[in-house]
Parts: sequence; C-alpha cells; structure tokens
Amino acid sequence: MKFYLFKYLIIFNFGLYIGFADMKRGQEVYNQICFNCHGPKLDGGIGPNLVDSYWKNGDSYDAVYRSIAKGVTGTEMIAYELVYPEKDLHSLTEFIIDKQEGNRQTLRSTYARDYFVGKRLHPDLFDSIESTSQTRLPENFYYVGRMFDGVLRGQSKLFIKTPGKYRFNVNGKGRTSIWVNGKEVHYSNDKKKRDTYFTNEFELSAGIHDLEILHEEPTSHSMRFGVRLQKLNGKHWMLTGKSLEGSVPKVVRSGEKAKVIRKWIDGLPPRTLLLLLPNQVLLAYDSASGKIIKGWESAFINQTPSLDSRSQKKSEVKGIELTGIAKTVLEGDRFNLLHYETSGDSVTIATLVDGQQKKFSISPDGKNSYKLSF
Amino acid sequence: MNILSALLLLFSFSILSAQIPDGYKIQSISLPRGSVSVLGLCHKPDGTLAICTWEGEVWERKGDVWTKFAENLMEPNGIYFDEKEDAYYVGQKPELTRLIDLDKDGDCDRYECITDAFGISGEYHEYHFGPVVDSLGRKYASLNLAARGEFTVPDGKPFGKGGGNMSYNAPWRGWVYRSDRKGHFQPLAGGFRSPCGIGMSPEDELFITDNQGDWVADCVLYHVREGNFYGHPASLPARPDFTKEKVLSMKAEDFEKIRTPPAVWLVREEIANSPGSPIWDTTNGKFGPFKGQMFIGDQRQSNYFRSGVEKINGEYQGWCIDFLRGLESGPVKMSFDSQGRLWSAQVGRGWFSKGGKRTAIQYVEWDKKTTPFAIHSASLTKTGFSVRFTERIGKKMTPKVSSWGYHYYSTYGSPPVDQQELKVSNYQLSKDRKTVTFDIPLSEKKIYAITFNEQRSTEAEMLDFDTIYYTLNQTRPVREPRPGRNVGWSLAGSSWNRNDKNRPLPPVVAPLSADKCAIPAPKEATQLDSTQWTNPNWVLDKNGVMPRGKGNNSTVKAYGDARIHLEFRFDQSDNPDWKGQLYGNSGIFLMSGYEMQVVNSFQNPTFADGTCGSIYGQHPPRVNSSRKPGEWQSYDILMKAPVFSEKGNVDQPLRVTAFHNGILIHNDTWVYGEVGGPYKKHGKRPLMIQDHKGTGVSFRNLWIIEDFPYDLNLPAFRNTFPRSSASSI
Repeated sequence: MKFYLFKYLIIFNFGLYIGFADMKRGQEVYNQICFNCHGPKLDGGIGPNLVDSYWKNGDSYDAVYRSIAKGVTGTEMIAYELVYPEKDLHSLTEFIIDKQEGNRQTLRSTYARDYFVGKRLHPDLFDSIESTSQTRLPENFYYVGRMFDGVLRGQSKLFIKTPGKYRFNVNGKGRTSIWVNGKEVHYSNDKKKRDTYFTNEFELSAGIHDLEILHEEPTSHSMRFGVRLQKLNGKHWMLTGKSLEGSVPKVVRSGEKAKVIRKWIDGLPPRTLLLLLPNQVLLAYDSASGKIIKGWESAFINQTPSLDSRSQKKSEVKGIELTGIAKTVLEGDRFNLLHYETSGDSVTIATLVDGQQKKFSISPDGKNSYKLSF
Repeated sequence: MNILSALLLLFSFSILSAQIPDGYKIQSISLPRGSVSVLGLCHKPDGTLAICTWEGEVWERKGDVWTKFAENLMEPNGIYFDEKEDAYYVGQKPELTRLIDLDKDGDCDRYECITDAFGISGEYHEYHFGPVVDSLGRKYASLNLAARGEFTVPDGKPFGKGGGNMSYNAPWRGWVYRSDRKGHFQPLAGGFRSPCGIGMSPEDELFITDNQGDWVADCVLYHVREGNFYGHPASLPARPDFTKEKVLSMKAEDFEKIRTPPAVWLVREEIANSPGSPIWDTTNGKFGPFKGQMFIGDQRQSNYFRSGVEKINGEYQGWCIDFLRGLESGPVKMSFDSQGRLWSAQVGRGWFSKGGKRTAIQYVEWDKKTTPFAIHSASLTKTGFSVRFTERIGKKMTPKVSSWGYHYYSTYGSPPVDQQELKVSNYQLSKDRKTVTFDIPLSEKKIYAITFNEQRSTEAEMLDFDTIYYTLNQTRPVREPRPGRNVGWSLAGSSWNRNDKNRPLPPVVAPLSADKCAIPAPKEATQLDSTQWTNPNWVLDKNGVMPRGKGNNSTVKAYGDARIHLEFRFDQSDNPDWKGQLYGNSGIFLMSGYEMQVVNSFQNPTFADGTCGSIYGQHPPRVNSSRKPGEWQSYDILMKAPVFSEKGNVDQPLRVTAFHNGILIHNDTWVYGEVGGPYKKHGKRPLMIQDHKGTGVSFRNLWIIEDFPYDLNLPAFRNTFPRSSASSI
C-alpha cells in the first residue's frame, strides 16, 4: 500500500505522470468489463457517467480506487478486487482519472462576512479564521444553498489535458478573486470602479493544477454568480451550477422493451410522446396533430437538467438527428389521445381522430429506422 | 401525569425542536434507491403503499419491498388508486393519466389519457395536482398558474419583491376541474394561484389550499363551489363573460365584489407557508380525539396542522391550529392507512422546507390510549367564541385575543392590517370543564387569534400549541338559513343545494345566429308531429307550432338513448308581474323524469339552476345563450339513458350533452336523479313537455332519433355547430 501511496503523491502533487501503472492495461480491463455498464465512451448506461461532474462516491484517486475495489453497496457495482489483482485495479483507476477533464475534487468552505469587511479578498485571509462549514461537493461545480449569507471559498483541482492559454469568464454580482497555482488570475468587484478589475490569460500545461475561488455577494434566493473556465480557441467548463440537491443524474436509454417517455424537450410541444425503441431510435410523436415530427438514432434522453430545484430546465435528447423522418401518421382535424401501450419492442397508440378511434403500432426496423403498422 | 413529569416534559420540549403531542409518534420509512422526490402517495385496500415521484416514477411498496410500477411520466403530482377500476390515476403535467396493469405482473402496461383538455405552455410552474375523488368516482384536480408569462394582472402595483405576478399562459390555468370519465373535462371554479392542496371531504365537498402570493394575502383554505371565483384575476379570461382586456380594465374593488373569500386563513409562519392537501380523519377514533377534522401538512413548516369549518349564514368558515412539528421534509400529500396511521409524502426540493431533507415518507401513529391535551376546536357564538379542549382544564386562564385583517390587492402577500388586542368578557367554563366560552367584540372579515397562555389540564399537562386561529367572514345570523331540499340526491362535488339563490348565475353570451342553428333533420329522425303526442290540449297548428296547453304532454312512444331537437318561442310580455320563473315556463322532461328547464332567461334573472337550459335543480347551463321573447330558440340534445342494475341501483347515470341556440350548455353532464326525487329503476319512457304556470311558450320542429348510441356519437355531436368563443372546452 505504501508503494502505491508514494506513486499517488508523485503523480498528483507534482502533476507528472510517472507511469508505474499501465494505462494500456487499464484500457484493456475497461474494455473487458466496465464498458458494459459505463459505456464504451465512459458516458454511462446502466451505470453512471464517469466523465461528468457528478461523483456521489468521491472523485479523488483513492475514492475511485475504492469504488472499483470494494464496489458500491446497494448497486450492481461489485467488489472487483475479487476479480482483478491490485495492479490491474490501479491501472484501471489511472485510466479513468486520466479521462477526467475540468474541475475536480471540489472543496467548498463558507465563512462569516465580518472578517472580510474592508479587506481585499486574498487566500491568506483564511489562514487565521475558522470556516462555518466545509463540504467536499459530490457535484464538481460550485453552488451554495438558498439565502446564503457569507463568504464562499472554493478549492479544487483543474485537470487539464490540452496545454495552452486559458482564462476565466466571470459574471454576476459581488466580488470575486480567482487564483491558479498560487497566482491571482482574476479579480472583480462590482462595488468598485471597473479599472480595478482584471482577468488575465494564463498558461496551463497538461496535468493537474490548483484552483482557488473566493467570492462574496449580497444574500438572495440563489447565488448570482457564474464562472467559466475558457481555453482560448478551445473548450470551456462551467465551474458554477445548480445542485441536484441530492438527486443523481438520470438518463433514459433504450432497453429490451420499447418505452414511451413524457419529458419536456426544447423545441417540442410539451405533450409530445417520445417513443424510444430498443434499436435506440427515438421518435417524437405529436399526439395533437397525428404527426411524427422528429427522430434520432443512437438516442437517449438526459433527464438530469430537469432534476434540480423546481424543474425549470428541460430534459434533452442526445443522439443523431434523422433527416426526412417527419411523417403524418393520421390525417384529420381533431385528435384526442386515448392511450398508449408498450408490449415487447413496440408501442401501440390509440387516438380519436375526428371522433373515430384509430390505432397504430411502431416497432424497430434495422439500426436506424422504424416500422409503422395499423 | 404528576407535576414532576410535567416539568420534565416542559424542559425536554424546550430543547427538542420537534413538537409531538402526547401519545403520537413519527416513523420514517426507507425510500427506494434512485432519484426520488416524493410528490404523492396513496394506499390500496390490500395495504400496498403507492408513491409517485417528481422524477416521473410510480413505486409500490408491499411489506418493505419497493418495486417500480411505472416510469417516464412528467412530474406526476398526486396519485390515487381507484378500487373499482383497479387502476392508478396520476396528475401528470400534461394530462390526467390512468395507469393500468393489464397482465397483472406489477408493471404498468397501458397509460390512458383521461383528459388533457386544459392548456400547458411549457412553463415550469404549471403543475397539475390531484386527483381526488368523490363518492360517485369522479376525479378532481387543480391547475397552477405560470410564474412567467404575458398575462399578469398588476392592477397598477409595481412588480412584487421576491415573487412577482403570476401569469395565465394557457386555457384553464388557475382553475379546478372535474373529469367524470375518459374524455370529459368540466372546469368548476377559477381564481386560484398555486392550488397545491386538493382534498375531498367525506361529504363530497371539495376543499383547496392556495399559497400566499400576488392577490393572495396569506395562505388559505377554500371551500370550492362550482361557478365561484376565488380571487386571483389572471384566470378570469377562461370564462366566456371575461376577456383579457376586460380583466385589465378592472381594479381590486371590482374583483372584490365577485370573489369568494377563503373559509380559513392559514396564518403564515405560525401555521403554514406552502400548505399541501387536506385529508379528513375518517379513522373512527384510531387517530385520536380529532374525528372528522382536517389534517393538512405544510411544506415549509414541516408540520401537520388541524382545521375545521362550520356553516355561518350558509358559508363555511372556521379555525386552524398547529398539531405536530418536526417532520423530516415538507409534507404535500396525506393518506390514512387502514390502521389509522397518517402517512405523508414529503418533499423539500425547489422550495425551502424546515425539515431540511430533500424528501421523506413518514407516518404518524397514535398509541390508541393517550389523549393529548390540546385545543380541540373553536366555534363562533352570537357574541364571541366557544373553544373546546380535549381534556378538562385546570386553573381557568382568560385567553388573549387579537384580530387583524388583510388587504386584497395585487401585491405579493399582505401584512396584518388593523391589528387589535381585544377585551375578553363573560368567561364561562362548561360543567365538564372542556369548553370555554367568552364574549368579545366581533367584526367581520377578520382573523382572530385566541391564545391560552399557560393553560394546563387538571393533570397539569401543557398545551403543545396554545393558539387557535378563527377566520370570521360573517357573524352568526339571527337564524341560520335552511339549505334547499335535495329531494334524495346530493350535488356531489359542486357543493350547492337545490335552488340556492346564492349560486352564481351562468355567464350571458351571445347565441349563435339563427341561420347557423338551423340544421336539417337527419333522415333517421322521427318528426314529432300531431300523431306523436298524447295530450289533445296541445294543438299543432297548420304552421307546425304547438303552444303549451293544459296538462303535461307526453309522446306516444317511449325512448331511451336519443338525439332530440326542438324549438321554442316565448310570448312577449310587458307585464312587470311576469318575471323570474313565471315568464314563459315549461320544461323538457327527458324520459318523463329529468327536466331541462324552459323559461325566458333573456334579461330575466332567476336562480342559477332554474335558468333556461338548466337540468332543473341540479346543473345550471354552462352559459346563458338566450334569445329574446318573440324569437325562436333551439335545443339540440344528446342523451344517454340511465342504466340500472338487477337490484335497481344506478350503474350509470343519465348523461346529457346539449346546445342552446348552438352554444354548448351541457358537457356530458352527469344527472343526479329525477327532478322530483332520486333515481328509480325504469326502462324506456316517453319524452314529456311540462305545463307550468306563467306566460305562454310555443314549440315547433321537434324531432327525435331513437336508440341513438350516445358514446359513439358524442365526439361528432360536440361539433354539430361551429365553435364560438363561448364554447372553449
């Protein structure tokens, strides 16, 4: 164990990859078994997404290792130390950690305001006072509770894969100070003149970097503060967001049986029936007009955005849009949905069309199509 | 309990944040794994507990094992198990859905759309709560307004702080409706803002809780009566007698004249901030000494509180008092199980809940022996109040009483207005030492807070909650008005009595033009000419016009399901004595027993369920689309005969869908019984036209299609005439 601890220290405190563990072996193991549940691209399936911001069981190397080795009680994630030797488990952990990008290992501390009145926000200020709370966040972005009254201090790691120039985009209220690897790269204070603000570009090498965010704003229902890490001419990551308040990310994927899903999707009428067939074809059927209005292949529905707070955000469809899929299934003026049923791989929908009862079924056809029958 | 224990209890209460009355206990149960925020729960007769979640799932719990029954629903906000149909009902955002397990494998196979006739704009706040069910099996649900949108009613006030103005974005938002069966949608009453709590009393009376906000001074409990307007003006444009322009031109004083006040104000912070659904204690004593009272949970306060109402001058008003605090999350729906335990579905997501947890399911049970010392209820007397306790009180303590009112305006919430401390006099204690009466200056439209500080029982027990709040809308009249006699049937769910003069009149709308109403008789129709009638006093003249004659007139043949058309015309009269029910009275007696009223209702007001087109004594017409006397008017009726069982019970009621001058006045209406009494088993019976005292009325162009299947023809029949703005269903 000591040997591995040493290796951990080397890799994560000095941002270097020494290579005792075998990444190729990690990939091999992943492709043997893990992909079944976590997806070939690590974006989840039966098991959770391994490249998103939600790490309920911890995202540190140790936490990930433990999840793999000991499993997660109450789920189908078994203790893989019963199946693979330690070396392989470490290789696998390395492999997964290596796939991470963005903000990780997020520690949020809160402080009472009084100490900071009239003082310029600076990491040193926090050395001599006690926090009012300290939480390692299971969601890798910063958020605070309703009516938060205090100073927020965030400490986390930035996992960078592409070296280059980066900068922060900060908006919202209050004052914010951001430090990367011990240097201040952003300061803004909406109570002071704009010429006191600055946002510097900075170089980041591939590897792991320290991030510290200090923020204070007036109390309100929800934090009005957004931070985005932007790679110049490249990707960006949101470092602030809305907590799921204990819910976990949820996606709806194809199963052996056809599914009819009722979720709000942008651009679709709220009463749309989303028909998800076992071949991963998703059809949007508008029961008020008798038309299939959109379709996708290799599709699934990400319900996660709608799981926070009051469900103000819609769910989203992920997949490859099928062109030429729109079709009028039933002709008429007045449509009244009667019922829908799923049986095996098909969906049957019964509707009143101008007072007459009509029924049709939709079942999968090949890799990216469907069959319609009356 | 001796003094020492009482003191210990007092001490322990001061360190515990929970307040649980003696003899009661809260228990939590484990939730199924996964994203679960519980929004509704119900019990099946076999003891199974079913829940619905914000994430869109329905789970069943048998013993302590959870299995998923249905998923991929859209935010179902209430679940009900219908024993007769062996199916669940859920109020999903887009529709009222029935879930059926066809092959009984524990998994939902069929999702039926019961009704989706209301609008949704896609705004997140447009939640759909319910259903609750009356004794006839009919479903009721409520529809929230939107938090953002185009149509708000600011009435000159600036945009409110921390809440703002709710918007009417789609048809029937802010309304409560009933669905009698699949495909049926009947709006009942509007003027709600965020009617999250819906409950049906054991007497088939509908109650709704609404949340403080714009136009709503504090949290409220309403007794819902069909046709009333409950205060939030944004939903008024759903009514045919209001347009958006008209509503925007009106002020608070105008809305005040037409609104129905709450039965009980649920005082914020003390009692409620986000009240959930009321439930009645029908456990017959298994849940303590509060038989028949309402229990309501509050999402923010994480408590249960009790409430009760009494009729004063024919309208409900009443009291509320806190009951139990310290729940883990925010209760929104309640259900009693067969053992008399009170379960609640709790959620603290999206809105703050003192309990702190995101979600929980807990039940409260009573040990069946310990009576907690509590204020049981309060009642208004002619000169003050009568307050009842659950146990004998010890030393007499004069209560402190204060009162206040609220503004009614578009601003978010109202502070207390005209707060007063009032002088208590004439304190009396009943012989059994359980009822205190006292006199106090009484004012209408006030809330009274009656506090019994330091009141102990004879056993030195303390009160958990020492203040009861009474909503005084009206003082006691000299004599309580007698309700109308309902001749053997009750107006379930609508809460009106027969011929109640206070029932709102149907809105007046323009009839369709005469040419649009003139539809040719189908070839299957039988013209009801002179050979078809039995009473020789009713003579069809050479123009085919038949004035009302002496004695009722029945057809020769007997009919069941039928499609009927007839036209009528009132004699003009300038005589001021001929008004109300005397101006041209007759009636179309479907199957000789079920009356559709014929009377001149053009600028001739009469009580609502006696208006032209009403099912007399039961249902006013949806709208009053009368033409004036001297002009020919028409009825187009589709009726379904009642179906009786072997034993003579009503299996299916008489149903009527009808147009008056081309405007829909009855929407698959459920008829409660014969005009003169309850249903009595019968077969086909003749159509009858009534003779009645009053000025003259004549009939022409009467035809009938016999054995015309109702359900099959209803969809087409609804579209007999071009849609008008009066027919928005």
